[in-house]
Amino acid sequence: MILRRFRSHFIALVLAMSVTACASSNIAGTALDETNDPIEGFNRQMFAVNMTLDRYVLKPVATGYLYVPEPARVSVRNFLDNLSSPVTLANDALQGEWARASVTSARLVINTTVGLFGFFDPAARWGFAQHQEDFGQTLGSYGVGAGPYVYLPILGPSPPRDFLGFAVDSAIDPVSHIFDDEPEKAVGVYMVKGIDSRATNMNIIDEIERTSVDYYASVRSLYRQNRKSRIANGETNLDELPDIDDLDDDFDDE
Amino acid sequence: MRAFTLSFALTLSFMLTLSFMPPLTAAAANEPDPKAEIARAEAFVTDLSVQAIDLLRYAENDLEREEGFTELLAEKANMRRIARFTLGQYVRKVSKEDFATFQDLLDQMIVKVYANRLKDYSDERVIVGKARNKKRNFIVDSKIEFANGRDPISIDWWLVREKDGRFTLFDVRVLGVWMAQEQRASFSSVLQNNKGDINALLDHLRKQISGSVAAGEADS
Repeated sequence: MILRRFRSHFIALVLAMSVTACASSNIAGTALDETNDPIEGFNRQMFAVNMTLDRYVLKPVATGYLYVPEPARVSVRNFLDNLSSPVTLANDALQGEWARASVTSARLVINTTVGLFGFFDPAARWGFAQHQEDFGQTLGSYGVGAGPYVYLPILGPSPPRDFLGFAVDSAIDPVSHIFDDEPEKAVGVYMVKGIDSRATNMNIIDEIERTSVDYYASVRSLYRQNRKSRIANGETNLDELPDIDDLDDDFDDE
Repeated sequence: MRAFTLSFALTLSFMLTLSFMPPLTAAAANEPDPKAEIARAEAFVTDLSVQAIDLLRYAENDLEREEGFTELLAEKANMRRIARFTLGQYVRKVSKEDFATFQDLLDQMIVKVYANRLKDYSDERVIVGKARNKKRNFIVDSKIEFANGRDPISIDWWLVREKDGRFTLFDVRVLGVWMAQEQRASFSSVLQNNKGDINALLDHLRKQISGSVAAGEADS
């Protein structure tokens, strides 16, 4: 009930934000792209909050989770991914990516049946590799820029377009419908996903943190670039590469 | 008189021919075959990745691995271009001496950081895919396949064809992230937050190289 009421408020909020996001897309999508961080002071404070939460809560829990045998962790991940795959399917369709939509459908059918309710991923072995789409990417594929960088506690990087995407995806995610009357369980599912993701990427996250001259700026760049790449479905657009020819200007002067 | 007219006509026609001919430069004479260039770019990445994996696999300790990477990068990458790129707009503001110090520290840091990040990848295979180019910039895609059955990771390599025709590595994109662009973002941030003082960045790099940057100590 609470969740339902929350959802109707949420959708109103989402619609309001979508208008704002579209209106600002022309500015946000162009040159301001890389940093575009007008509230950096606030963002850095929220980043520090998350770093503290990570150090004292998430990382210790994720470290503990790594004691669960890997096959069990993989099965839990498969199950939760399969449960949320309608989100990817909806966004494949909204982007008009029919070939990718049919891969997602095939995965859903195969893994729910042969894969025993999604605990196993036989579809990947049969040539239907997993991909992930969200509503932020869908908006991006229609040319909506990410907007200014915003960093929120718990959620992390959430510029307007992607926060809106997160809101829409949460509203259509089967997980939030299954636990309609028990929102704490839906939150629990998202927490398990977060812990699993932290555990799976433990080494690389710690390594980036340890080796960055400015971890906040590194995360911002990683986020911006990764989103751009996902929107392009991993393709590199040669026309969007930064111009490096002027770096050679005085190359021969020494 | 006739001889003069003939020689005048010959000279004129020779001059006219010259003026209408395209300039005969080295590039025009040896215009590289696009297909061969693509194949050459792919071969460059194959060779580079084989050498890198050999280093990860056979180096006996951290020092040997780091020395190997230093040599490999000196040979295959244009470190000066990378250094200039990562300084972003500040590149024109630093003195030659400071740039030289920065270059030296950056070279050391790249080796330390990437030799470490790659340490766990010694049992993997790099499958080199297709190359594409825009002028002298070549992007070669590839996949790393994991022995333990993990999903493959896609890696793009950005090569630049130098004036002498050699390829050099400029940047690597892992999971959608260009590494040099990430470095530039964090360097620019440090410089911006220290009023453009290059010494602040140099100090950061020195600390990082000596391994004294504790987790989470990122400056703001």
